[in-house]
This record gives sequence, C-alpha cells and structure tokens, in this order.
Amino acid sequence: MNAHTLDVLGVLFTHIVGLALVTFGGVNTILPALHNQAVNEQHWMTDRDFANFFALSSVSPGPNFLMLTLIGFKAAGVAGAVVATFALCGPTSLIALIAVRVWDRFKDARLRDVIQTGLMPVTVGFVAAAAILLVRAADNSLVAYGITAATTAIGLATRLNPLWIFAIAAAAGAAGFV
Amino acid sequence: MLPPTTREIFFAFLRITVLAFGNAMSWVHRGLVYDRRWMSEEQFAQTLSLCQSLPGPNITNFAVIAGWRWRGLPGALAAITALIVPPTVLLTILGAFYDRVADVPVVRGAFNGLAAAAAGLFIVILVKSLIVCAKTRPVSSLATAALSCAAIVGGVLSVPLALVTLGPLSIALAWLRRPA
Repeated sequence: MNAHTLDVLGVLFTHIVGLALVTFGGVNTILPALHNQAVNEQHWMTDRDFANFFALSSVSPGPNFLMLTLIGFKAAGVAGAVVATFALCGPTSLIALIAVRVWDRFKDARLRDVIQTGLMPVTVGFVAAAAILLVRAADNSLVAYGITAATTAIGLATRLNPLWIFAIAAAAGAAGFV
Repeated sequence: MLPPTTREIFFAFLRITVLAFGNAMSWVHRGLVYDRRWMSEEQFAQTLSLCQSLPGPNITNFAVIAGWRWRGLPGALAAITALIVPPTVLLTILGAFYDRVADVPVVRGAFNGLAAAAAGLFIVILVKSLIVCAKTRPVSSLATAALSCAAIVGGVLSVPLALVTLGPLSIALAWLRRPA
C-alpha cells in the first residue's frame, strides 16, 4: 500500500466518521456532504459515478447507505470499501451501545421528543438538497427527467415493487432510449 | 419468552439484509416483530425512537441495541456483522465490476435509466418526510426545511454547520410551540 493510498484512507476515515457523528434522521441527510467531498473536493469520482453508485446500492440487497462502500472502493480499492463502511457504522455503534445502557435507566422522553421534532425540519432540508443533487447528477436528458418524474408519481400513488420500475428503466436505458 | 440465541440473532439479521430493499427498517420490523415475535410493537417503536435520536445509521444502531438487549455484546456483534458484512462484500465486488464496464455503451445506458429511477424513488422518500414534517407547525417546519435545503444547495453552509446553527434554532421553535 503506497503513501498516497494511506493518505486517501485517512481522509476517507476522518471525513466519514465526522459525518456519521452528525447523522440524525438517516444517512440520506449527509448525502450532500458526501457528494461535496467525493466529487468536488477530492475528485474521487464524477457526478455521474455518484448517481450510479446511489442507483447500484438501491438495487442491491442490504441497507442503501452502503453506497458508502462503493465510494470507498472508488477512492481506495478494497481497503477503501472496508474503511468507509467501518467509519460509518463502527464509532456510532459504540455510542449506541453506551447510550442504551444509560437509556434503560432514564426513559423520560419529553425533552428527546422536542429535540427530535425540532431537528426534523432541518434534516429534511438536507434530504431535499440531496434530492436536487441526485436529480442533477442522474438526469442528463429529457427522457431521464421523464423517468424520474414517472417513478416519483408511481412511488407516491401505488405500492408497486420498485424492482419493476428499476428493471424497466434499466432496459430502456440499455436500449439507448435515455 | 426466552431471548433468541446469538446464532438465531445472526441468521435473523442475515435474512433481513438479504431481503432489505428500499426501506430496510420495514424489513427489520417484519422480521423481528411479525415473523419472530422477538419484540412487541411498543418495544420496536421505542427502540426505533431511541435510534433516531442517536447519531449514525438508524438500522445499525437498531441492530446493535436489539442484539445487546437479547444477548449482550455477542448478540450486538452477531446482529451488526450479519447486517453489514455480506452486503459490503457484495458491493465491493460490484464496485470492481463497475470500474471495468462503466464505459461500455449498453451499461452506461442501463445506468442512465437506473439512476433516473433511483432519483425518483429518493424524491418519494423526501415527499413522505415533508408530509410528516408538515403535520406539526406546517408553516415554520416547511420554511425551516426550505432554508436548510437552500443553505446546502447554495453552498452557504455545510451539513455539520447547518446542523449546529439551524438545529438549535429549530429546536427552540419546537420548544416554544410544544403541545401543553
């Protein structure tokens, strides 16, 4: 492993641990920060790769936040994939273990409720920012915008398994329509 | 009822991660509350609420906490390992393939379609969150969400900075307008 790879692993680890510690309301809330780091600051990948990784993790088994594994792989190979995944889950799991022991003794939830409902509009704003970034990165043609709009409408109005939508969209793309 | 063994915890979370697609938390609910009855609806809701107030991915926090309550540290390790390791291995392999085939026209085309659809499903998640958000104090909640979105998209604030500046303001608003 050369010095450059070690540098990248260090940046990956510190950056993702830092983001994991401010992840409230799901990993979707930190996507804008991840995008900024991976695409704009470190140039590990293009906008296009970012959108593709998001899509790939959506159609793979496992939690969707494992798109971080793909980001880590792109940045620094297998070691990067492992470091990115561990950085996201390891330290926060430790915090959860400590918190649960305190929590089981202290169950007054009123203050926590106020903090949670208070924080929610801010973090939903982050998800909105992530949606804008993803649409910008994913959609480069009118047909692509059309697929995004149709998927949104179908997702909101029906309970159709999203795998069908992915299959149709991928087939249309492979055939050269998107 | 006896708590599940470490081995049972491992296989339960392995099944969850293999099936988890889209909203993984709904698979946790299905696996642990419906299928196995290892926790009640109320225990599930309380644990989820605790996870949401802790930093990090909700689902890994959930796995660690549920595993811990059943079987201590071995239970927590079994749950998180089963949840994370298999998909990490799979995605690493997919990542390696991606680098080789991303420029093949057919693959690039398929990804154009996939990425557009994935963005659409992300908007679905967003709209659902906005609806939940608008249920209490709709005007101030949506205004705060719009402000925080604009600050991020415009590059005025980073995610951590927005959290420590807008977060306390928004919490103060929630405190002032809390139900009596």
